[in-house]
Amino acid sequence: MKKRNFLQLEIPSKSENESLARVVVAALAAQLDPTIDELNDVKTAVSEAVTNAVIHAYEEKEGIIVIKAELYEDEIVVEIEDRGSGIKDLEKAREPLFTTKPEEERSGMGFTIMENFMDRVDIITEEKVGTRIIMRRKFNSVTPVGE
Amino acid sequence: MEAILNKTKKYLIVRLKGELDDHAAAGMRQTLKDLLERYPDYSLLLNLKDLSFIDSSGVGVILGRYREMTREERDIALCCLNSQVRRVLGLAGILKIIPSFGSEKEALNQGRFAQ
Repeated sequence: MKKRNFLQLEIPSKSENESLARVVVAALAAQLDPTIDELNDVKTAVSEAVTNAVIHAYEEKEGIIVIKAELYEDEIVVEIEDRGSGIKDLEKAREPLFTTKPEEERSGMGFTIMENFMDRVDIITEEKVGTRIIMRRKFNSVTPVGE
Repeated sequence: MEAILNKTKKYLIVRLKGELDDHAAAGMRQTLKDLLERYPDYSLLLNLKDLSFIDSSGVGVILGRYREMTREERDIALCCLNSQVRRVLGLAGILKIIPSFGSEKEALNQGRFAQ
């Protein structure tokens, strides 16, 4: 399918950048004119992925988060990459309510939200190398206009 | 983000304003904890009308207050959820454990927030 637009963004892993990341990706997605609910789903999923990079991948240290988003006729593909700690047990991390930081009142719902709000979530992770999360969402309200 | 407090005889009505994500979570957790400690005999109604965004970090803050209130045998309820907030809290199972109402009035009329 034809790529209509894209963005690439590099940001330091500061918590104030969580809102920056989700707002920028949502602004790109808005170009397809999806419904508010569809837009909010993407926004929420991006927030989860970036928050994971800030609090888990880099913990207290500062690192770089790379955000790429590609816009197709009726779909957005978002990739969020860090060069942090990697996820030790990916299967466990994807379980609802699982958290490695229960003492901080973390809900353990991050991946559950990404997987429910997006059509597809692929996670590529290696310990001490980093994590890439690739999420896709088709907007059913948008009719592709063809090539 | 902001928390705006209103008090009735039995209820602390806290209106959350802004976006409750990881960045805002620690501050809001402390604000709510302080309020609940200062008014130990009150029930808590969180008005989410002006909460424009929440994610799993915000869910953690609400879940934490629910646990605290339940442990102390105090009541907690939510009202006025917009669609993004409803979707996230619904998916996280919060709406199954904390009663939620359409308006402040409706919540307060339910007495002890009976489901």
